This record gives sequence, C-alpha cells and structure tokens, in this order.
Amino acid sequence: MTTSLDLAARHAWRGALAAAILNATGMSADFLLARTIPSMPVYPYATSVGVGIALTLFLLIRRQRPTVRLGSAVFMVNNIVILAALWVTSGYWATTGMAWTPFQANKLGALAVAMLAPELSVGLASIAGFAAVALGKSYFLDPDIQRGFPVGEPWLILIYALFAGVLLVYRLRGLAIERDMLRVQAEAAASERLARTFLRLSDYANTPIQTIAFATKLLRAKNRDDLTPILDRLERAVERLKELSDALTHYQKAHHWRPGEESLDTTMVTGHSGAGSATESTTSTSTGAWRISSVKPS
Amino acid sequence: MDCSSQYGVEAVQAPTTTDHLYDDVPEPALATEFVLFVEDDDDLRESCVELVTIVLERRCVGVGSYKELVALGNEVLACTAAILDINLGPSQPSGIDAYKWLRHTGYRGRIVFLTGHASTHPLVVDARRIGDAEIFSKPIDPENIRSLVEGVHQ
Repeated sequence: MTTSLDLAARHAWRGALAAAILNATGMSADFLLARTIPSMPVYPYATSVGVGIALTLFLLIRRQRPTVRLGSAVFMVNNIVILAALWVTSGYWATTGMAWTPFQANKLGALAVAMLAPELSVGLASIAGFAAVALGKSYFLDPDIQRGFPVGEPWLILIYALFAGVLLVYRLRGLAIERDMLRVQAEAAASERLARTFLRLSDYANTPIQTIAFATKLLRAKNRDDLTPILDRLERAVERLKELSDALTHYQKAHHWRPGEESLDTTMVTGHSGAGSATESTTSTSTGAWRISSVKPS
Repeated sequence: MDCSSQYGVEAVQAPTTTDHLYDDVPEPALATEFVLFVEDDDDLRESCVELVTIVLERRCVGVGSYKELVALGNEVLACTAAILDINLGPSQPSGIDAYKWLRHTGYRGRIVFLTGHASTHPLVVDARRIGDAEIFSKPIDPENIRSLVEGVHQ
C-alpha cells in the first residue's frame, strides 16, 4: 500500500499498520467474548479499538511518507494502549470464577510483536511490556485467584517472551540481510548501467575520432606550412580523445553483453529522438549467432 | 565535398535508395588492384579512401554497405586488402557477413576488421573467432593503414 522506496520504512509502516488493525479487530472480538461477564467495563475495549482505528487511518494518510521512526512510534503507542486495556480487563476475566487460562492475550501479543515490530528496541520493549503486565497483574490479584492458576502460570509468559525475543531478533536480522542484498544488487545493476553507458559512449565516439585522425593526416600530406600549428593541435586533441575513449573502454569488464543490447542510443547524443537514420535492432546473422546492430550516427 | 573528382578517387558513394545499388559501382576502379574499404560512415569512408589514395598512392574503393559490396561481384578478386567495419549499421548485415561473402567469392587476400566497439562486444567476439582476419580498434593511427595496405605486398 505504501510506495516508499525505503525498504526499512516500508517494513516499519506495514508492521505498524498490521498491529493497529489487529488491535482494533482483536479487542473487538475480546469484547464480544467478555460481554457476558458482569461489570466488565466497556471503556478499555472502546479506547483500544478506537486508538487502533485512529492509528490505522493515520498510517494510511501517511502511506506516501513512511519512516521507520513513524512506524515505531505508532507501534509503541498501539501497544501501550493494548497493555493498558489488558491490565484492566484481565482483572475482570480473573474474577469470573469460570475456568480461565491466564493472560492469553499477553502471550499472543508477545508473539505478534515478534512478527510485526519495526525495530529491535521497540520490539523488545513491547515484549517486555506484555510480560511485565501479565506478571504485575498476577501479583496484584487475590491470592485465591492465584492459587487457581494452572501449573506454571503466570511464569509461562516469560517463556513466551523469550521465544518472542528470539523470533524478533531472527526476523529483523533476516530483513536486514535481505535489505543489504537488495542494496548490493542495486549497486551492481547501477554499476553495470554505468559501464554500458561508458562503452556506448566510447563506441559512438571512435568513428568520428578516426575520421578526424585521417582528415588531419590528409591535410598534413598537403604540406601547407601555415596549417602545421593547427594540425598539431588537432593531433593532440585526437590523442586526448583516444585517451578518453580508452578510459571509457576500461569499463568493459564490468559489463556483460546480452542479446538486445545496442550501441549508443541516438537520443543520448543528440538530445532528441528520431535523429538521422539511427534505429535499434537485433538480428540474426548468417553465422547463426545473434547480432547487435548498433545505433550509429547517420 | 566531391573528393573523387578532386583526387581521382573512385569511391562508391552510399546510395540514397536501394534501387541504385548496382548503378554506382565504378568499373574503371576495378580494372586494377585496389584496396577495399567497407564502412557505413560516409565521412570516415571518404577520408580513408582519400588517405590511401593520396598518402599511400594506391587505388582504394570504398563501399558503404554489404549490398554495395555484393554488387562488386567477382571484381573484388582484384582487391589486395580489405578493411571491413564490423558494424555496418542497424538492421544491416555486418562486416562478418561481408567477410564471409568475400571468402565465398574466392577472395584469398588479407582482411582486416576495423571496429569502434569494445573487445567484449558480441560482434567483435564473433570476428575474433574467424581466425584469419586481424582486428583493429578505432581509432587507429593513420600510419597503421599504411602497414595494413602495404603488408599484402610483402
């Protein structure tokens, strides 16, 4: 949805958007499940869902200008609101007297953070937040309720947090490697384009340089003394152009010719299209090999 | 510039339409030995023809395309050295095709490719595989034309 060319910013934006949407939908579902619980307040759900929707809209508005900082900030705000809502609602869930698996939302949240966090610091902080809220809330619950917890609770949240942390590091490292590879590939492609351009320039320039060299030699053959200084300058200029052409040709090792690649496009030289009789084509030769017909000045 | 009339150079000018391809072959030029220069760039072709004619004092016939070359027919057997541009223009047979035609016609003399392309260019790579033709990259020193042309007489 975002068209940013900054891959890190795109990842951050998408992660934050997914987290905000999950907040809005997840909390709505939780509210539907909790509607039979007496005295369950609506405001935690309403606040969390409202913030989730607002953040979603905000991200959509800013989709053309995403940044990692923006994604991280939205992600953090979203999680703080979720944690605040869970702090309130988990207390009510615990006091229903019905069978209750403690802090399911916190565990799910920690794992979701691992999959969506834009940055390591924001992700680790969020995972720690989900774990801390679960343990903190557990601490403040009535001891009778605590004794009714399944075996291992509430400490199981720490195992979830550990797994979520490892998954987060693994995912972010994979994204970083992917971005590095894309950057290296883009740089290689740019280098090859540059090499191809230099080669085409060299190809294009060599014939006119040759013409000047021959013409200079012809004029010198006329033995016109008054032309000697001019011809000397012309020959020096040809030498310098040859040096330039040689320098451009050095890039040929960085370029791999492919069928369909042409010599210099006329528009690159003349600055307008349709000049001369230049066209581009690739034809088969009688040798059976493919052949590039270069674009040449008319 | 009409160099042919000024210097007595019998150069084949590039035809404006294919209908006149066979009308421009200068018969008198082919009666004696000559140097053949196949190059699609008019300026370079005329300059080279004049250079060979005036400085080296040898007859030189310049043709601008494969079709013009083929129009020479068996007259090319009088050629003492053939200098071929590898790239003879877009959608046109290449200098390699010109080489093949020359050999097919029975020409056994020296053939030199002249190219402005880098050595890695596919056409240049193809030309290098031929084996019995030398390849020179543009721009060459005008003195090299002399050694190419005079080499056949050694």
